[in-house]
Amino acid sequence: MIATWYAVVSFMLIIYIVLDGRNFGAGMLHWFVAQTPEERRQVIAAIGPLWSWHEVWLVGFGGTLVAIFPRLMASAFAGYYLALFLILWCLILRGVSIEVGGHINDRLWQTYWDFNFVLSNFLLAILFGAAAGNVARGVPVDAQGNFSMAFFTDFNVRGYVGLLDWYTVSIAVLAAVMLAAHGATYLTLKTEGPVHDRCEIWAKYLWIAVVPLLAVVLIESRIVRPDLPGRALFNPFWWIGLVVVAASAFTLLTGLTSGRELRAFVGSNFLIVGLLATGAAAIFPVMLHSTLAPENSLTAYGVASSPSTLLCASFWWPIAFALAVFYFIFISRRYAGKVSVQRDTQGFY
Amino acid sequence: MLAFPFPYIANTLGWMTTELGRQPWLIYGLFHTRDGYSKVVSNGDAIFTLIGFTGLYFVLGVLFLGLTWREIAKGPDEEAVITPHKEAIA
Repeated sequence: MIATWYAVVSFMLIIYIVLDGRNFGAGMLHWFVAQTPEERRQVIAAIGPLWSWHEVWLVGFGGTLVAIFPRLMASAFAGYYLALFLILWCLILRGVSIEVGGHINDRLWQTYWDFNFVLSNFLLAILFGAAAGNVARGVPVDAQGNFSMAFFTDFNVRGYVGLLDWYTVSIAVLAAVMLAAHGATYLTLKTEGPVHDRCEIWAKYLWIAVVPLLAVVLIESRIVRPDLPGRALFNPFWWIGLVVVAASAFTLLTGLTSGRELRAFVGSNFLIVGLLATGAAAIFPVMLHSTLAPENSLTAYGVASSPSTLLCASFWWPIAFALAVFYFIFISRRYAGKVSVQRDTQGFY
Repeated sequence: MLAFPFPYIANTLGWMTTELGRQPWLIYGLFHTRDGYSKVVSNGDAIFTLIGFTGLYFVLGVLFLGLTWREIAKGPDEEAVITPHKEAIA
């Protein structure tokens, strides 16, 4: 039961990262792949109607976390206090940039909001990457199950660690590059003309850059957490994750080289899902590893709600999930296909 | 036009009524506010984020008022063409 809920909670966060990751990527790249206002409009239109409902999955993840693993939520949200506020402010700035930028037809005004948009998307990718690094490395959980962290301490990965150290920073860089590659792949699918051609080139080089970065992070992970994969070798989900990674890497590669955009994008989505799922399966059942003493670590079994709460959630969660999936399918079909500035009536934003 | 601020006032006051009226409880009858705060979040953290939020919302408020004023001053478009468009901004 609790293992299933762990899978559900991880699944919701992974869905969020994959869906909103393409917006982070496209947002970061929009200064480089679009040069005229019309081209910029193409990029915004590709993500415009979609980013806000992608955030549904982040809210859903938070809600499920508080219902199923309340003690983890209490510990993590207090411990990650400043980091979470930074994420929140970046999410606000990103949304406001799209909404406000188009209201005044002045280049300085629009350039300012474009800059805000690029910066907040970049910071979001970095922050979510650093967060993933923190979950993998562990945080200084004390015997009471609490922790608090500075942004950085001595950049080491043992003892009283900070949010940023050499390991989490390298994962943050990997996340930024990989989500930029993901966004470029998405824009290749959604745009045409010069933006499409530039995105094609960006996607290729960014995905090439992901390979050495991923290799470095894997080697680092082996050093930082020598106990992993350990138990994961006997976890079927870890193996399924690896199969997904292999299959989607192949799909992505063939899609990119043959210029089949949908195939490449499907591969890119499942590659990120596979990598994150492998990571989630590897750390199970520990949800927050303690860098001070392993016995302080918060496990899924230790932080879960009472059986009656879990039973109640088993009834309500599928209903909400069905609604979210229904809306996902509806809106994906509604906005399928390439965006076109000619058919567009929204002006430059 | 005079009715314009009232939904905002009603909304805010409604929230204040629920939140202040529930004190000293966080969950009515079950959980006190004084038991509910995070001990690892320092005063400095709380003040920093409070100032950050106040600043951010102040800027957003000024933007909202300024842009709304612009739209009102401009008035409706001369010819309102209703065309189906797929790329509507969210």
